[in-house]
Amino acid sequence: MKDQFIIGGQEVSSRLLLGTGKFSSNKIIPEVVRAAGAQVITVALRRVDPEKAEENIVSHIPAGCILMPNTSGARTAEEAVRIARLAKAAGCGNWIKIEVISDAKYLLPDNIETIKATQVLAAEGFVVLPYMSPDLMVAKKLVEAGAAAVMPLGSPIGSNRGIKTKELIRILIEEISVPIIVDAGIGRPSEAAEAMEMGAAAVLVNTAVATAGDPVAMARAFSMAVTAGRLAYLADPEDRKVYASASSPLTGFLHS
Amino acid sequence: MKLTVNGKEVECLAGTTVAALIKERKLNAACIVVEYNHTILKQNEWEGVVLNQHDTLEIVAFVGGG
Repeated sequence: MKDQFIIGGQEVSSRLLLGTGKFSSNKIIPEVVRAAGAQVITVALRRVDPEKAEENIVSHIPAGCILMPNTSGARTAEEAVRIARLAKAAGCGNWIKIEVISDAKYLLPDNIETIKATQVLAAEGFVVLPYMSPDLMVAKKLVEAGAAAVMPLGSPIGSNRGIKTKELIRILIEEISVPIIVDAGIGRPSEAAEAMEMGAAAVLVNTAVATAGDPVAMARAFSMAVTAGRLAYLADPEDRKVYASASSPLTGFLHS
Repeated sequence: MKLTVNGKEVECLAGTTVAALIKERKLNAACIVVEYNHTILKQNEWEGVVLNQHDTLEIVAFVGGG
């Protein structure tokens, strides 16, 4: 059977979603996207600075990708809605990653404002993917509000600390009907594989790829890890056990 | 007259249109979005909007981000 990954009614070809921030040069992005095999690519929206040479990030994103602007910079639902509408007006589709943050130290999302923004934007026809602190009731409310997927954080953005919220994410995977995409904190391919083995539908990675010494190689490593983790999940691993269970026969030993 | 562009107060000649301001600043029209007094303008509306004293413009574009 084909292992389809569907978000908001649209089939997505890769379970690795890729961010475009922090690259030393945006020129490397097309090669990184290809190495990652990623289809959903995030971007941010910012004020244009006429003093700086303008560079159109979108021109570096290969055709066929789904652009997912984020609402970074928003501190309230109202600001997130405003950014989302501006992003849509740019004419690159109707996907939006909601990110509402007012905590500058840990960049943890404001779940309550995120629910409000999801309600408004889903009603306007956006495909809404909210970034959130993993919490079952919040996730349920996001789904009720129309979220196409729910994106819990593994650990703070850009921290490379891995999946510290594992048990809470496990509960979301078990209880929530829409895809669970682990977003933020994944610093190594092994952690992406870990999320996928747990049954996460996908992962979103940015810093770990963008800041690696060789971003193209790291993108490829993440792609392989996501594929491996997904395959392992589908292969249905046996439960963990406390005591040993011999792999070799316990009969026919050479000693008596 | 004075207006606010991307949070900064700027001087502008009376009668300037949004389209003229974009051109003057050499911005790439293909990749920007303009919000005029909190309302998003379509590109074909830029020519018809004449700026007034105390107007607020936001000119934004996509950048790299997670």
